[in-house]
Amino acid sequence: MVLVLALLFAIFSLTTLKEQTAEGYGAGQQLAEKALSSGVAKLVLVVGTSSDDQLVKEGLEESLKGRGVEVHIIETSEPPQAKKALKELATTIPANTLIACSKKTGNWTFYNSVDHFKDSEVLIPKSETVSTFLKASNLKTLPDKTAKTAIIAIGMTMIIITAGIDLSVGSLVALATVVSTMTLQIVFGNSSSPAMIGLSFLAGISAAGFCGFINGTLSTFFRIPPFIVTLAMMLITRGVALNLTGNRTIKVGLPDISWLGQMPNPIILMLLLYGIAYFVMHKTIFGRQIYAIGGNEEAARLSGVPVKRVLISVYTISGIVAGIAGIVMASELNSGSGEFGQTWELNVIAAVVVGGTSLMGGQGKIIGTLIGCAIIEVINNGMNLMAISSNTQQIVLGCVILAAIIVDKIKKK
Amino acid sequence: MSDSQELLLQMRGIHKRFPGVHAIKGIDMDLFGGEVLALMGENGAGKSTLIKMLGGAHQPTEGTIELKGKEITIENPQVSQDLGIGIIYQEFNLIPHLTVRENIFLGNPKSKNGVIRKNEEHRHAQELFQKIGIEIDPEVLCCKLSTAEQQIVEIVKALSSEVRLLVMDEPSATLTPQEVEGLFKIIRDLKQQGIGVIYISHRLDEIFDIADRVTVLRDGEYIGTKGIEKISRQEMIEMMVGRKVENEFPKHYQKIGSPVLEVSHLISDDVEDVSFTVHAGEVLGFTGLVGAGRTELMRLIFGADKKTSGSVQLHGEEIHINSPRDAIAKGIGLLTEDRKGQGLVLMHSVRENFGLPNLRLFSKNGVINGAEEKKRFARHIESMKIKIPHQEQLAKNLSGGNQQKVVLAKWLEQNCDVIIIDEPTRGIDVGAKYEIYMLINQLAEQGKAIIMVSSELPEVIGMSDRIVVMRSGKISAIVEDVQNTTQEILLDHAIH
Repeated sequence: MVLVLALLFAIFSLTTLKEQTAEGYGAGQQLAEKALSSGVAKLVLVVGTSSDDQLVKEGLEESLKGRGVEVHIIETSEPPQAKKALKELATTIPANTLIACSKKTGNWTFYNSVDHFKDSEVLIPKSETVSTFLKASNLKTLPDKTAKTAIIAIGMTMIIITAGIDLSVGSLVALATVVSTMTLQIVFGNSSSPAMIGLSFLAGISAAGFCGFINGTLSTFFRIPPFIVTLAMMLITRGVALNLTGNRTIKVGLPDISWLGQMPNPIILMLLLYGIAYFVMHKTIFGRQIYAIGGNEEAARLSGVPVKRVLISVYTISGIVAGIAGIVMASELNSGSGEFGQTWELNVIAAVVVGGTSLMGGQGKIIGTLIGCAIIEVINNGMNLMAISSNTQQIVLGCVILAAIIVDKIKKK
Repeated sequence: MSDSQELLLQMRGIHKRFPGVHAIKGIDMDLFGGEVLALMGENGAGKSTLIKMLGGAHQPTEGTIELKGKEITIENPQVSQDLGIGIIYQEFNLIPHLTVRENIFLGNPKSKNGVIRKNEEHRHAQELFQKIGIEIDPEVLCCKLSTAEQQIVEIVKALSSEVRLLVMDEPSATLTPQEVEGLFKIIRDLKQQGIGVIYISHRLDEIFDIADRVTVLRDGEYIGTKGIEKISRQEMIEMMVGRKVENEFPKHYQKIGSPVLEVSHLISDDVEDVSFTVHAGEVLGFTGLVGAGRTELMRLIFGADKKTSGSVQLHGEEIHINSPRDAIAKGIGLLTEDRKGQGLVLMHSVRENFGLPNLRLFSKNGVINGAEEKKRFARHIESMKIKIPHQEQLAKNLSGGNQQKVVLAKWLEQNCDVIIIDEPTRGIDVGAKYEIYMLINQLAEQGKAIIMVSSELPEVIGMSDRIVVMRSGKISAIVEDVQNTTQEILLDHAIH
């Protein structure tokens, strides 16, 4: 599976190869990226007055916006003037500050002859082929999008290992966003104190967790197949969430709640939860019991496994992690809505299955699910970069899921 | 056999190589019309592979198969069927929610322009049932039939097309002695009609009852063929296991102690007012026909099913068991008759299977100490001589005997006082059976109370200190004098 992921990386790296210009806006971006990767805090940009050089300036400024790099700009088409300006700067900035040039100003040779900038690195944009997929700016967005699905997939993996399914997770995400934002607005009067925000989030998670508990209870005590119970729960909770909000989006508008949804916090949360889940699944009695129930429920029961209790716990956990994904979303979008999380359950199930967990139960790995989420996100992202239409993307994704299952079957033979 | 009979099937120098495995190493086999040939051998001896070649599921790598003097190649199951070879596999291939008639004609329905001619099928099915003298309504759903009846449907299904050669792979494994007798009557009828039967079974008594000749395989090799009147039980076992066998049932040193488990007036849907006691160091045998309520009674004691009333005392104190969990906590262990379906999680490793009921013994705050688990399991592997390459071996890849040992290890680690073993040697070959018997005796000698449920009467007589016979949910007799009892006496208690 890791191999598949690596292969996808290779494919998309190659297919998104693009000529990066040495001129205009793109050149500015290129300079900015290089400056960022060398980790400087200050730089001097020397550009001419032509419209092309103006674009270089814009490109660099846009790319460095909010990145904490101080940019000093020398804008002139006359080399002597530029040298003079550079000498003036020498009094205000540290020695050997990085100097970035456009293609035109890059031909000037006096930069290192100014004493203060004797050992400065001079960046000149070059024409080079770069993969847009492999660009740091793109790769950084990957885990961001995956985090929420991946968090939900933890609970789904556990459930599928017990040979069950949970279709309600998408709706539970919506319910959690609605319950937490409404609690904050109505109960705590839009308070911005961290404690109140925390309590509101807790309310959202609890609501989703409670629904999960009901899922587990109904399917174990009345022996209703989980498919049916969670299908019903999916409809009920979606309806409740929409009714609570009256079909509107609850806008919180408090910057304080967006802390959780900001990069890299969702990723840290995701990794933390995966760490816990890995430990639980592979090192604890509870984890072993989950696998045993999926492998052979009757044998597990006759070996003294409290089957009902374990199943109820697993469905509750699925509700809780869906709730956690919900509050991450509420925080990210600063709002709650009954429309959120539509059809997410399908993406999550797809990720779990691609990750090698058997729908027949008893087999699967939590880390596999994480890789499964990554595979699906990489495919989506790569196809976006290749400007493939969303219709075609669905077809490709469907094929990938089938291919994953077939490969898995062949491997087991 | 006698020269008057026609040579039906002749297999010569059959080899079968799978990638990395030489499963069949030059086997010769003959079958005459109107005879029953018993195919004997331990699990893994190559019986199933040989049968699958006749059924068209495998093709021999080398060697020739002749049917009535004509060389044939059996490419697929359809060809096999067309040649008149009927095979009844160990696992039934009936579809539970179809009727008997629909199942019988599933492979080759009687139809006209794609429409099934139900009346014709019905008539033909009835004819077939009459032919073997058994009455089963062809329109009843297969899931409503007993195991024995399903077996008969399988036979009729095989007979529905013109069959010259019938292979039966352990047809008696799930049948009671009485039902086996019925099966034998059918087989004798088939013999009369000139059909050649290849019969596979682990039960030696049956072989001596029904077979004309015996062919023995071991480790994929042909060991020999003998007429049934020219071979003794002892010789047959020795041919199969390849060494001298002293005794089929090891004797154990009896030292029966105080009562451990006392069951009084237990009642449920399947069990009527059952009371008995089992003592420390005792092997208490339970026998009876299938459906007599033996398994149901054990599940009741173990808390797997709900009881209506009655009480259970352990070491003189009344205990309340509402779930298997409670029973395990009190020190009662159950080895189910359906090892694959209820005893093991087949897709998981043997280590995980061993650990399942015992996790609490080597974990702290719910976190498992993996090293300790391995260490403890290793002790059992050593003491019970479980043959596995490593602890991560999947349970499904083990032989029946080794699987049974793993299940036994589960309960030994719990240090149970009472061990209930339902059909301890079902599907286990002769060599491994002996080892299981030895283990049971060892446990009894350690002072554990053993309840052994078995349909195999020689096993019950050979192993038990006392025998309880059950009949339709009740205890019909408790035999104290096991030394002087016979299969007939036990059957008598079980039937009347």
